[in-house]
Amino acid sequence: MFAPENESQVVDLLRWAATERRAIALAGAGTKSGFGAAVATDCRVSMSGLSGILEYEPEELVMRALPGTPLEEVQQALSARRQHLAFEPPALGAVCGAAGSSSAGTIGGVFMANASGPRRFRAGAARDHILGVRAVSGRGENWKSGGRVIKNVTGYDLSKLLAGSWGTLSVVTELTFKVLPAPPTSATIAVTGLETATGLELLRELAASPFDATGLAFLPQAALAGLPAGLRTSREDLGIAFVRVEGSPLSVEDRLRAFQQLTVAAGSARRLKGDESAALWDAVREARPVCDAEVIARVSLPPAWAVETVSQLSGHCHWFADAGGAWLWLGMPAARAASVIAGLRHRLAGRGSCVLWRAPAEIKREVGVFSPTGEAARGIAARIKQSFDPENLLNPGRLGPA
Amino acid sequence: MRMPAPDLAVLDRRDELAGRLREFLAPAQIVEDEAARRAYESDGLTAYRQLPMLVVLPENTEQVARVLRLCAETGVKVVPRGAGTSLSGGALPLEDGIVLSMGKFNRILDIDYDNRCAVVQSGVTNLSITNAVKSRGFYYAPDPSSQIACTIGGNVSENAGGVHCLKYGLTSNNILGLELVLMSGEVLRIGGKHLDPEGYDLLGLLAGSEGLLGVVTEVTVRLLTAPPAVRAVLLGFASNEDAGGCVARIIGAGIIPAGMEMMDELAIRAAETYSGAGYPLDCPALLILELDGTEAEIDDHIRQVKEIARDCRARVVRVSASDEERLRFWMGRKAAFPAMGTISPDYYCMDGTIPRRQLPHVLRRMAEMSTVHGLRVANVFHAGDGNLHPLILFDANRPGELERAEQFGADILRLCVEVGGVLSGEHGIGVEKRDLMPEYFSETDLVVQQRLKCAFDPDCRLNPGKVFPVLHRCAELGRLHVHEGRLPFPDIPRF
Repeated sequence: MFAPENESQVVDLLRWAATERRAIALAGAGTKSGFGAAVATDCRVSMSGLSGILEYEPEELVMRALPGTPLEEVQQALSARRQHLAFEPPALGAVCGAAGSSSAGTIGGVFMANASGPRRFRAGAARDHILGVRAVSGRGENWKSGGRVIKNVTGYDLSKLLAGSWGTLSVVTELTFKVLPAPPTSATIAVTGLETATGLELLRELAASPFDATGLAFLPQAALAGLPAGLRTSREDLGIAFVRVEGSPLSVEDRLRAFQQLTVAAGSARRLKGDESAALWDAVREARPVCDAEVIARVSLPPAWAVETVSQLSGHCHWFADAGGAWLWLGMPAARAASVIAGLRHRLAGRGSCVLWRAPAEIKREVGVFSPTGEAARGIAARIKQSFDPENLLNPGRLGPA
Repeated sequence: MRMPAPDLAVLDRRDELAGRLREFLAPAQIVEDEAARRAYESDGLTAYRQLPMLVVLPENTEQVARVLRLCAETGVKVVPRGAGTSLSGGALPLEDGIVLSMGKFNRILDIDYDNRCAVVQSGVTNLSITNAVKSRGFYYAPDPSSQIACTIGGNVSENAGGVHCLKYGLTSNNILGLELVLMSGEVLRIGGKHLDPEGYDLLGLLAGSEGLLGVVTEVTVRLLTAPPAVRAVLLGFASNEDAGGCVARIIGAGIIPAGMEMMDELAIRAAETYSGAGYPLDCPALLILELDGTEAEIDDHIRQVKEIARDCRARVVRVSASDEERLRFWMGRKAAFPAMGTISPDYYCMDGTIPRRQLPHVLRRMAEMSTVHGLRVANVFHAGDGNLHPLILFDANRPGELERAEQFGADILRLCVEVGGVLSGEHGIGVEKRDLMPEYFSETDLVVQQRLKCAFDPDCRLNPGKVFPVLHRCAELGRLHVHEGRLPFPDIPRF
């Protein structure tokens, strides 16, 4: 309903909302609007009007942009100077139920969702790249935190607190983030014919090697089905581990050789063609192998637990492992979801996370989008929310009951 | 430096508090004796001293929780302390407060190579983590220069960095989990051995929170695999401009060195005199680069760095041929702080961050200020990440010099803010830079931060007098600052 065009309009809007006690549902391009619970309000705010790159200094490795700037615009500006967002932000529109959207989302959405891709285990998450924010609280006050430099202990790091807050603490009106040189070369090897346990253990072993893989995923046979033809393998192949190496051409060749030696005992290795490699990591980043499922969850866990965790999954559950085995993406039918999710969370017992990225509303209500937490953690989260947004106006209920 | 006025009623009840602490702590865990308390009267910022009311040394999380609960009930302030290496007075005691020393939290609890992490108590020193895992080829990345003494709990509180953070990140990028005790005595476990814990990013918030939100008792850190090879390059320049230009060109070429340090003329001379590292004394600006990876990768980068250095008029280009030589390149830089002792009775170590390209300008302005204040300044600079450590040389025995050094320091920090930087890169605000916070933040910015403090510590008992120049009561901060009357429907584009 509202489409503010600058920060002062956001301030006006939130002051009005605070006096009128009007709840607000925030969105950028809306690609991830399906995440979490629906916000019960008729007062919708699109941040798309606050769009544009304000400052980009390649040699300072920093960019400042308005939150509604399309992710593609940011990426194009960066790639023109051979730089990138090292955390490889996914769009995840298809996962969140916006399959038809041609947009990859906005830069604000990327940070508010703390959306990170396959390079997560090596390069960090979105939150590791945010340097500063300007924002407007639920009290209608505009504030800033952080700055444009990497090393900064000047006040609390509220930029990180906003990353992953899904618009529930403040409305971000400007973001400053770290950018890095894009690797000039990228290559992937596929190690085929792996049992699940062998494949997952291999990921862990390779993640601990000093040769600096920047992508480590394992796809069991069922997860390979949706991939481009060149990536599917013959029936007897049980699963494939993919190892990506990036850097200067010399370095890539050198490290690929090292990885080929490390994987020789596990299975036969094949080097993917350039377009195959790009298509594969696109699919992994966007969780495409599980995208047809009614319910999609992402489990983040100590990688050594991955083998046992997937062995407990029923046959109705599709999955694949990313980030060196530290993430499992799961897809399952709605009818099974509640028991699968509850079972997983029970076994993780707070020592991992399990977040529903797609589910019918009743499943979300039944098991919760997030794992249940203890009283102390609930208390602190509620008090943090209240300190920014005492009237619970910003995306109320999106992350669960207040 | 004005600290919160001591509460005389609390001071009167000191013996009573000690008695209640003895109900669950051994006598040796409570330091009452004045001479023993003296050991805690300051941290690394020795210009500020204050004898604490009591010092308490808990041994486990339960004891920390009971101490905090007791202090919350009886209205006693608490200052947490790790190794006391803070350079911003973050662990400066309060006259009517206890110092909660984490010195007994010195055990490594679990080294989990399978999951590439280690669970350690918060009083474990930074270097001892790496020492415990290096035989297996692992290390803990952040390496602040005090790493031999500073604790991981203190590293979390100041979000410590070190020389490798452009490539490997700060403390906040290298921790997976925390155990935290709130002032209420509640124990909170955040994260674990996995990535991306659910909920608000409390790990990110706690890193750099300067001991104001809770007491960290346990930290789960990421372990990285040591790179196959490491080499260093020493570059000497005729000017700061040339050196600064070279840094920008290296990064512009897509090379992120593992470390990139710069020293100015005075710092080079002092370091060379002190350590005999072999620095070229005819170069007023020196860059030390560390490159890591496979041999082929390093060769490739060194070839490019040499070309860039030549273009930037480098007078000296040396590549380490052995690990001994690499360590010798670093020896002078690592000894830069103690080296100041050879050229000055005292020095005051500052810590600000600036956008890299501002370096030549900032060094020029600093030289002007040096004339105005009548004090010399040497500079070491984490060139990769823009973190500047000016070392102001003075003699505390000369009346007025300490005050002049402090004024010079404040002027430098104002300059950092003016050019787009911040007040502290890694030492924290503490008491040292507390009153400069309004130079960077608006009143609202500070109120938003203090409200967050209230979410963790509603009576402001934990480390009060640090970071925030004005202490507000939480109830006062909670009020909504909107107009009493109704606002008109906002005039905002709609669709």
